[in-house]
Amino acid sequence: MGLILTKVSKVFKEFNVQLNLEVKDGELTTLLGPSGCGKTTTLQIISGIIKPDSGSIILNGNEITGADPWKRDIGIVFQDYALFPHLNVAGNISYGLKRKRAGKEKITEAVRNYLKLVHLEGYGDRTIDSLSGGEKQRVALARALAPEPGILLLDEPLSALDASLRKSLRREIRRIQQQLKLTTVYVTHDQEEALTISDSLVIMNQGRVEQHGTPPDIFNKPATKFAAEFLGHSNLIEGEVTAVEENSGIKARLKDNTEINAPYFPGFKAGDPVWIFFRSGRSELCSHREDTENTLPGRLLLKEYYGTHTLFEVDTNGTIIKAESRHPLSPEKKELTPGQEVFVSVRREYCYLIERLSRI
Amino acid sequence: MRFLLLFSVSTFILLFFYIPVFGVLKGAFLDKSGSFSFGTIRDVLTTPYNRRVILFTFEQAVLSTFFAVLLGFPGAYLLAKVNFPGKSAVKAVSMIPFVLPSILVVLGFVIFFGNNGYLNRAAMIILGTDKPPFRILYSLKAIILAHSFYNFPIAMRILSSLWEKMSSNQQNAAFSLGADRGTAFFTITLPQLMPALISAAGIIFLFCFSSFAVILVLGGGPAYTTMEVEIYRLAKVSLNIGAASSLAVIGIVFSLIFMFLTIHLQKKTSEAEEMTTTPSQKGIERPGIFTAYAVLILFLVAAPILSVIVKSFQMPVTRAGSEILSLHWYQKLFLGGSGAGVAAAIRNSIVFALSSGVIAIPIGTILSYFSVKNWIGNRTITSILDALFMLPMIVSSVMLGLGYMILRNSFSDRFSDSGILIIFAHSILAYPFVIRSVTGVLRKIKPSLIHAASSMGASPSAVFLTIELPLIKNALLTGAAFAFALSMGELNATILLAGRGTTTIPVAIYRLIGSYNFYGACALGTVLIIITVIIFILLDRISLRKGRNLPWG
Repeated sequence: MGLILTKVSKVFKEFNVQLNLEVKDGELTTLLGPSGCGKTTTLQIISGIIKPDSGSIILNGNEITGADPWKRDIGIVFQDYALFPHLNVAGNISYGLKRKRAGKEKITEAVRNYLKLVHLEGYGDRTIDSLSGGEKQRVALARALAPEPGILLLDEPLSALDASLRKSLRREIRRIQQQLKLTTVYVTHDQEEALTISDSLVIMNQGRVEQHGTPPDIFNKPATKFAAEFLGHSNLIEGEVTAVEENSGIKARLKDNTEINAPYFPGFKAGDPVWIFFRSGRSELCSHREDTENTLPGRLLLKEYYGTHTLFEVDTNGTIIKAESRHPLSPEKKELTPGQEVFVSVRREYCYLIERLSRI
Repeated sequence: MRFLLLFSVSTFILLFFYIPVFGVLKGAFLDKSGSFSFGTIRDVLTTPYNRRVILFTFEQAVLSTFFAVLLGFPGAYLLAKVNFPGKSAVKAVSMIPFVLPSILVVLGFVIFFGNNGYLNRAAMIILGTDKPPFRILYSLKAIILAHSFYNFPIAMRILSSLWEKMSSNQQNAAFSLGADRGTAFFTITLPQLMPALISAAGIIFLFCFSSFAVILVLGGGPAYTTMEVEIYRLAKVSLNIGAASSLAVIGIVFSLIFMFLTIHLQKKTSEAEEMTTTPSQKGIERPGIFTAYAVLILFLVAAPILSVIVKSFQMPVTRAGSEILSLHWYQKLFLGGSGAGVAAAIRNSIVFALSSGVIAIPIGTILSYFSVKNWIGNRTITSILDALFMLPMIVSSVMLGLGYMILRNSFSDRFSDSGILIIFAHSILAYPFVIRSVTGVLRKIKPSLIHAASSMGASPSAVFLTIELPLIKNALLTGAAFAFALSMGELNATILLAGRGTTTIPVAIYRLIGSYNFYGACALGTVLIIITVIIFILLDRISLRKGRNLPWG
C-alpha cells in the first residue's frame, strides 16, 4: 500500500522530471528542494493535474496513472488555500462529501468532526473572507481530510503564514497526520519544516531525487554534494582517497597535500575523488596550532554574531571553511579579529565522505 | 461538446456579423456591373461635401475627446486620492455612458440647454431680458458639450484606476527634490498616467467618432454632419447603398487605425515600474474646489435628465408658454390615437432587450471560456480568433444596420419585419460586453480552486456548476444588464431596421423630437429613464461599488 511512482517522467520545455519514489503507508514523506526542483510538479503528477509522459503511479494498490483528477481519491492542501470564496466554511468542508453523494447527516457530522479536529469548532457558518490566514489553512486541511482520501498532498501549505504560526500549524498537521495514520506527501522548501515533520525525506534537484531517507540519515550522511549543501551549514572540501583500512579508517589528501583522517565507510578505494564533509558546528577554531588531527592553517575572513552562536569563516589555502562556536565564546575566540592567522580542526568521527563525480 | 458550442457560436457570428459586414464591403467595392472597383470609394472621397463631412467628424471627435478628458481629470484625482462623502455616487456616474441611452442625453440637452430650455428661461428671469442668452443648440458647441458630459466619466474611471495605484511617495520624493505641486504633476504624475490617458482618449475618440444620436439631433443639419449620420442619410433617405457602404468602409478603416494607434501608444508609454498596491488616501485638502466640482458634475449630468422628467408633467396653457402640471402627455401617449404605437414600442424594446440578453449571455460566456481556458490549445490561433470575435466592438452600429439592410432583401418579408433582425443586431453589439465582463472574472479564478474541487471528486461539469458558475454569476449579471441597457438605448442600427411594427422606445422618441412633440418625447423619455434607473441600480448592486467588471476592463 502507499504510493509508488515508477519511472515517471515528464518533459517540459526547459525542464524534465524523472522519478522513482515510494511513499510508505501511513508515513509523512516530505519533498524538499529549491524552487524549480520539480517538487510541486511531482505533486501535480500525483494529483493528475499534469499527466506524465511515461511511467506508472500506483496508489494503495490501484493504478491511477491515466485516471482523471476527480477519480483519484486524493486530498490536496494548496499554498494559497484555494478555498471556495462563494461557499462558507461548512460548504467548503462538505464539498468533497457532496460529490460522493454522502447523506445529509453524515455531512453534518463530518463537518463538525473535522472542524473539531482542526480546532475550529463553531466556525461552520463563517464566510471565507472573515478568516485569518491560519484559520484558512486549517479549513483547507479539514476540507481535504473530510472525504477521507487515500493520500493527503500538502503543497507548501505554510509558506504564506508568519514564522510563529508556521511552527504551531506544522505541529498540528503532524499530530493530525499521525492520529489518522494518513499517507501524506508534504512539499516544502523550508529545511526546518522538513526535518521536524517528516518520517521520510526526499531531497529533489532538477526534477530528480537526490536522496531519500530519514531526516537524521540525510542530515548526517548526505549522499550527494547537493544534499550536503542544501541542508544546514556544512563544509565540503575537495580531496582524494589515499588509503583505506577497515580498522583505522580512511585517509584523504587535500589539494595542498594536507592529510585528513576520516572514519571507515564502505565503497571507497585509494585514488577515489571525494568530498570531505562536516557540519560547520563540528569544526573548531584556535589562534595557535594544537597537536590535534585534521588541522588546517588559514586566515580568518569573517566573524558574525548570531545570538546563540558566532560564525567564523576561514580561508585555508583557497578553501573556505565555516566554523560555528556556541556561546559563550572562550576568551581566546572573543579576541579573534578578521585578518588574523588561525587554525581550524575537525575530529575524524565528524567527517563523512561523499563521492566526488568528475562532472562537478 | 466544447467544439459543438464553439461551432454554433462562430456560425451565428459569421451569419449575423461577418456576412452583413461583407455585404457592406460588396456595396463599397463592386460597381454596377458587378466587378471589383475602387470607383465608388473614390467618388465618395472626391466629393467636397463628403470630404467636409469626414473632416468635421474628426474635428468634433478631437475637440470632444479633449474636453471630456479635461473634465474627467479632477474627478479621477478625487476618486483615486481623496476620501470624501458621496464618493460612491461620483463613482456610479462612470457607468452613465454605457447605461444611459444617447437619445435621452440628446433630449435632456434640448430641454435643458435649448433656446426655450430651463437654463435659458432661468437666465432670462435672472438677467431680466426676453432673449435667451445661451444659444447652444444646433452647433458644434452643442455636440462637444453633449459628448464631453456623456463621455467624461470614462476618462475619470480609467485615469483613477491607474492613479490610485501610484504611490504618493513618488510625489513626496519629487517635493523633497525641489519640485512644486505643478512641476511634480507634470514631471512625475502625468508621465505615469500616460497609458491610462491614451486608453481613455482612444475609447472616447472612437465613441465620439461614431456617435450618432447626438449628431443627428444636436447637429441639426448638413453643416454639422458626421460620417455616421451621413451613412444613415444616404441609406435611409437617398437610398444610395453604394455611397453609404463606401463611407462605412472608410469609417471602419479609420476606426481600426485609431485602435491600433491607441494600443501601440499605450504599449510605448507603459512603464514596467512596480506600483504600490496599497494606495494612500487622504482627507480632502481644499474641500471648496472639489465640492464645487462634484456639485457641478452631478448638476450637469442630472439637470438635463431631471428636465426631461419635469417637462413630461407640464402642459402649456398660453401661447406665451406658461405651463401647468399635468398628466396630459401620458394620457395622450398611452390612451390617445397614437397610444397603440407607443405601447408597442415599449413592448418591443423590452422584448428585444430581453431576447438579445438571452442570446448574448451564452455567446459571450462560451467565447470567454474559449479564450481563458485555451480550448483549442494554441495561444496564437486563440488570440487571432479573440480579435475576430471582438470586432463587433469596433464596427459602428450604423455599419451593422446597413449590412442588415442590404441583406434583408434576401430574407422573406415576414422574417425581416418580425424584429428578429433587430434582436440579432443587438445581440451582436452586446456580446463583446459579456465577454469583457466574464473574461475578467474567469481569469481571476485561481487554477488551484479548480484542482481542489476536482481532487475532491468533482467532474468538469460539476466544477462548472458548483465552482465556476457561482463565481462568475455577478459578471454574468453585469454582462446581462449591459446587454439589456445597450439594446434598450440602441438607436443607430435600429433606426435603419425598424419597420412599422418594430419601433423601439429610442426610435419613437427620435420621431417625436422630429415632429417637435417635445412633451411627448419627454413622457416616453421618462419611461426610458425609469427602465434605465432600474438597470443602473441593479448594476450598482452587483458590482460597481467593488469597482470591477466594467466593460472596458
